[in-house]
Amino acid sequence: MAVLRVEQAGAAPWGSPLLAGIEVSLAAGEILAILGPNGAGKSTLLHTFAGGIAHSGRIVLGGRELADWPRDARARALALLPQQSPLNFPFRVEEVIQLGRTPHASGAAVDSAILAEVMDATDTTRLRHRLYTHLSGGERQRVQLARVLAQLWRAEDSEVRLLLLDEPTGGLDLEHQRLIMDSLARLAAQGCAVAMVLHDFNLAASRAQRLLVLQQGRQARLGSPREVLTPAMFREIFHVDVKIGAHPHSGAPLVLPT
Amino acid sequence: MSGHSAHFSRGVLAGLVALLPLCMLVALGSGAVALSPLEALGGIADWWRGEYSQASVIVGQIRLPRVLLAALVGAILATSGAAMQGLFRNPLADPSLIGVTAGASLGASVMIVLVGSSLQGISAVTAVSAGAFAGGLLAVLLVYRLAASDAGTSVATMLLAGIAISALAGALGNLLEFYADSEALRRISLWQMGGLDGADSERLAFAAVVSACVLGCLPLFARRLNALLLGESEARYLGIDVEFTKRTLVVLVAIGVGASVALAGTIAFVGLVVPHIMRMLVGSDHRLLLPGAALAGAALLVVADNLARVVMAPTELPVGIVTAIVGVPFFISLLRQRSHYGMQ
Repeated sequence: MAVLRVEQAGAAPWGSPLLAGIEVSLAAGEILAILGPNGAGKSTLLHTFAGGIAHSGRIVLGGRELADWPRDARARALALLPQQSPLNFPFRVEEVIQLGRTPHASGAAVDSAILAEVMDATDTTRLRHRLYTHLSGGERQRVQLARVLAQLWRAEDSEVRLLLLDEPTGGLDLEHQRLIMDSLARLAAQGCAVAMVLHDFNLAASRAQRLLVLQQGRQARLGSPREVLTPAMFREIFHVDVKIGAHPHSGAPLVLPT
Repeated sequence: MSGHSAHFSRGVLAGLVALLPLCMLVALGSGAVALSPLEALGGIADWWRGEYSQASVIVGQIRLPRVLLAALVGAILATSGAAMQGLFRNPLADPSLIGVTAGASLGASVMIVLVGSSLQGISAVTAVSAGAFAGGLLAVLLVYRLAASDAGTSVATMLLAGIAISALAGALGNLLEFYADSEALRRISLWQMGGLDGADSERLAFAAVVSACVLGCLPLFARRLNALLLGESEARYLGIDVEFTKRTLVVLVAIGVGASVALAGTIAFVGLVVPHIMRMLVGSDHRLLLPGAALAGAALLVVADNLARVVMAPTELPVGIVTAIVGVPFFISLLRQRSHYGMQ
């Protein structure tokens, strides 16, 4: 059973349609990268998947229409990392991360064990007593990541788990990019489906099984990195000429700007 | 730094739990007839048993209703302020922001001008209070209607609508004062400065019912307020019913603040600053912040009202002046460590 099945979905949050004809499904453990030029509708797509924007067509999460999910159960099955968070009140880092456990009634002992694990997975352990508002951009990003990880961390909390990430590596240095991607891969290996908006094609090619390219709200390409990352696609959608090589170790496509 | 341990926060709360009865006891003892804390306690015991003594009359009939009213009003204002700051994600928010204070002031002014001279004593006070309560609720209703749409309630629009309605109510109030005679004018301005001198058992009972409702319900929203600080859509993805939360919080605060303005006039400062003081001491988690603000607001208003009674006795100062004079220096001293506070 697919974790997420989207059929002819569209969305028009402000009247004119921003998304149309989205047709994709995600299996448990699969990682999907969403790519596209600025304003193509990538963030809108994530929020639509999450039920935050009214949609046309069908979006089915774990065999049940998104709108039919009870609020709490949906929050245990689905989490979204926004591109920016407006949090401006002085919470401590561990308090922010614990907010991810809001929909769960798993008890303080379980929650603090999960807190320790997700802090480890995002390298935020030494920030735990700091104030969120005192952190740098990249540190905040890791704390927010830890929060959504905490929401979906345990397989026994929900039968289906879908993690939606809007530029999870934005503002992260190379070391932390790698750490986060490894943590996401571990989570996916335990059955959580992941869909993430990325701007780095090489990161997407090496970390995602499939890529979805959006162009002006339409699904322009969907397929494996090798199928999607072609010079023709870059010319048509991104209006740039690139060379496509191969990664010397993994063999994944390597995008080289010319 | 305010990255306090949960241990420290609980210690602060425990300290406040001990501090509040102490403040109340001192307030019960001070006044035209000074009583020691023991005598004051004896007075309460006598009054409770229905025995007549000088202390039992002074404490039971005069000072106790007033001290309890001060505590309840202070608790309502501070808790409402903390909830509003959380709901609006805005450190400048206070209960007056959604129009309730201005509306209540206008309602009271209208009643003072209309019926103030024809009625005397208790009935005049009751009429003015009713006017204030109705005015406050009406203003909030209007603000809420303006901010509500099919897509939900916009918090930013509510803020702007609150400012607009407050300005309108203020203008109408000024117009009223322009045409009022000097006696009514004096009563309006005295009322606006706030005071707890009208405390009696009926008002206390009204305050108790409202407090039970407001102070009982607001802490139930602590986790939801925490999640809302992340942003509305983030709170929704955490399983929070955002619309229900916003609606209920605004109604609760309108009832609480409307009632407290009706009972004690506009008391500035408590709703804005006590939540900040408590956030610096116990952190931003509303599960600790709301009870902390209630206790601190109660203690502050009890102390301020006590000072208002005794500083220039037999003349009473308006309590709003005292809350500002007592609270502002304390707040400023905390602000000097604002780099540790972390509010943006």
